[in-house]
Amino acid sequence: MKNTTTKKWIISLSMVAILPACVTINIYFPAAAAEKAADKIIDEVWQLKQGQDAPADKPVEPTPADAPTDAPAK
Amino acid sequence: MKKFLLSLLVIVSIFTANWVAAAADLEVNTPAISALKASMQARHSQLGPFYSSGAVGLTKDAFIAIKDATAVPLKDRGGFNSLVSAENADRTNLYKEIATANGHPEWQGDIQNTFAGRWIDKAQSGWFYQSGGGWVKK
Amino acid sequence: MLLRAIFACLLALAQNAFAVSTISISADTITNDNAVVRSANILVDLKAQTTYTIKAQHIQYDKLEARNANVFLDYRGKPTLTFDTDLKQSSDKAWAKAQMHCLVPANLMQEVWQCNDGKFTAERINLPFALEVTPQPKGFAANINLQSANFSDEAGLHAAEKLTGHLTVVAKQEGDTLHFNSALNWQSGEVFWQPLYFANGGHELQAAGSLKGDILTLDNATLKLDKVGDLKFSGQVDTKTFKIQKLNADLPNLNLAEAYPLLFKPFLGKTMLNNAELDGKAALNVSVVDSQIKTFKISLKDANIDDKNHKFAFYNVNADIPWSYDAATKVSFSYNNGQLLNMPLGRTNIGAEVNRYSLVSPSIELPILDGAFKLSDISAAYINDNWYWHLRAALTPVSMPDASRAFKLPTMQGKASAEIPLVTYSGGILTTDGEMVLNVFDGTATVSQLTMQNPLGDSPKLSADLVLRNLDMGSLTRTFSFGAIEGKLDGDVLGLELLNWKPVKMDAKLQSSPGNYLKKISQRAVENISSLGGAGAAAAVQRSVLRFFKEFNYEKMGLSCILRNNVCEMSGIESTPGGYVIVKGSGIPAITVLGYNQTVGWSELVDRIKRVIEGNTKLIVK
Repeated sequence: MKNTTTKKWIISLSMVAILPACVTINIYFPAAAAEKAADKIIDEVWQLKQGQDAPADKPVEPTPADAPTDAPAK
Repeated sequence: MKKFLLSLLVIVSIFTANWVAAAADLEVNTPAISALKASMQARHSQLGPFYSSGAVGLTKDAFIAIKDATAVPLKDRGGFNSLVSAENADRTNLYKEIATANGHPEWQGDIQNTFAGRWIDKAQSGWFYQSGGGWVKK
Repeated sequence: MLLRAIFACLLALAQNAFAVSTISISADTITNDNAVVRSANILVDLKAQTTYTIKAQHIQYDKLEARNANVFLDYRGKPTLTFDTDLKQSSDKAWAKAQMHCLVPANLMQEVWQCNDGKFTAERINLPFALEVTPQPKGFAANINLQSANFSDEAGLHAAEKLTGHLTVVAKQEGDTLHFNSALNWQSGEVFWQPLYFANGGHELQAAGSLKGDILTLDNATLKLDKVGDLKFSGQVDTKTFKIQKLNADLPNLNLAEAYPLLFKPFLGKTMLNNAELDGKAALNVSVVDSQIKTFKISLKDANIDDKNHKFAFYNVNADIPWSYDAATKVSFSYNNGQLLNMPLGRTNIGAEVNRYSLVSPSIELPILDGAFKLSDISAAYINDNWYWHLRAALTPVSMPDASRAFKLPTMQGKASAEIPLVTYSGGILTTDGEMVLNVFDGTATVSQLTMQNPLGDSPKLSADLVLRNLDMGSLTRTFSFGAIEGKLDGDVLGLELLNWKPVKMDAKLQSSPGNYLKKISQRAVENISSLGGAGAAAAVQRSVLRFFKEFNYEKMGLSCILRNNVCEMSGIESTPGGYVIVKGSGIPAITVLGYNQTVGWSELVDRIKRVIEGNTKLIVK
């Protein structure tokens, strides 16, 4: 009886020791977290804010004023 | 009682494991990432009209590409081109920085794939994106 | 051959058969060499004077296809030839339309064929043209006028609008050689040819030469670019492989102000030179043999180079840079003044010897402020598209007040000097062995293990170890308006990494130097240190009895920050339960400042320091 109890304890202890170790080694790519992070960055870059459907850039034809400033100027 | 203790230990160990995985939440903000975001945000005010007019579109590998530059006046086309390549250079660096900041440079490809879908999902209707072999209007 | 036979037959009919008024010939397929004509129809109208109508549904010639071709020869008045057809290359999907109307001269082989109303149109192409061709013995002379032509490729990366120009070609076949003399005059219209953009015409190209097999020989050619300069060149190129067998090019007088935006900038995309302003004159001379540059010479005369991002500037640049594949040359480069990352540069003369892909120079002196950067034993090599170089460097004492003004920092006293036994640059990374010692605030700041990546580029990276010893905190705190502290400061900033000149990683530790000296800290400084750890602590000082004392004695003080991922892990000189000691007091009244924030966001910390310094500056102003 006493023997089995000790055995059980040894097994459980070793599991406790091994389980986290296993997971620490196998860090998989956290897809959901990555999507959340990507969304946050895209919202910032495209300046998309909740409850504000029309962002700064309306669909307009490019005009010289919109044109990149680093075009050959002279 | 012993069984209870045993299961408790297992539960504790699971929680520990979860904690390890959750540590990588990817929402880091290093100076490099902030700089890239700021530069891309500033550029977006110039790129915005080009998305709308279909001059550029979103590619399936998380970049942008020239779809039809003919709507852009000739004199602005050189600048338009460098705008597109500068954006793509920033995007490459962004994916790389996020991966390295998380201590997993090998995630760069996964991060890029994630972004590819998110850029297109968040694009405004009327913008073009790559699907299969061609361009699709959203 | 077959067609000719049919024509002969027709002519015979026209002369003999009086009763016939129209002749119609139809053929399903006519094959001649590599031309195939399907569903051809020839109609000869013999009433009054003759007209010929030739129609073909489909013509295949090599890789060229035509459909619905109509040729109309009219001999009723002045003979004319009109034709129109759909045209495409076999590999293309869309058809283009071509049409032309010509006056046929009496002497077909000697007089001018004048063709007007020429037009070539396709989805993105509209080329109206007029053509004058004079047949000559074994050749021709042609004059082509393009009127307000537009074209573009699908992506719009090669396109022209309202292009008007003139091309003359005189060609003559002699044996297996075709001799030509041509002149292209681009009068007006804009062209974008990725990545180049020409807003206006006014450019001319003249070329005389010959074509024998695949080998194109240019005996003399001149490209005149309006306002930019004239390029004279001659040489030989294989038109199949585009291999240059021989080339001599001479650009004696290049206007840099015009040439930079037009010709250089588009190719300098992401380099540090992509947003500069240039003026002055340059001359360029190149010779190439078998695709290999044999010699070149670049000269700059009174050129000014000014980076619009203000990262660098060089004024009154004069350079003479000859190079030869076979022989060593001496190059010289000088400028009157300039700046590099806000550091003023004085008059500099650089001389070096270049031997194919390597460069050596015994010494270069770059005057900076009141000192100078002395480089010696310089050697550089260009291997596999990469530069590698190494040199010895020394900075003769530069006064810190001048340097701090140049870098827009609070005025610091002292002098900076450095001795670097070896600087190497390889694979885009600049590495230093040895130390740079700055004598500042009566102590020393030593920079070692300095490496840099593209310092003038978009995201410069720098890493270094910084060791501070015995800095006088009195003058330090006065300089940065931090509230008075008397004492000496040691610091170790190890593994410092700057990106865009902002810290991203470091193990920093600042603490009072060991030893006996006057150790006093003002109440203001105590408040400021406390407020670095957030609000609350400062208020506690205010409310306590300690506010009656202007200054306190301390035994030791220190603060350290381990910066990773934009988060600073803070600690002090010793730890307490739940916190750490920043200032440990001594004597009466003694004060101890404790920190409780173990982690602080780096940007938050920088903001706090800024607020403290700015707040104190305001106080002083009052």
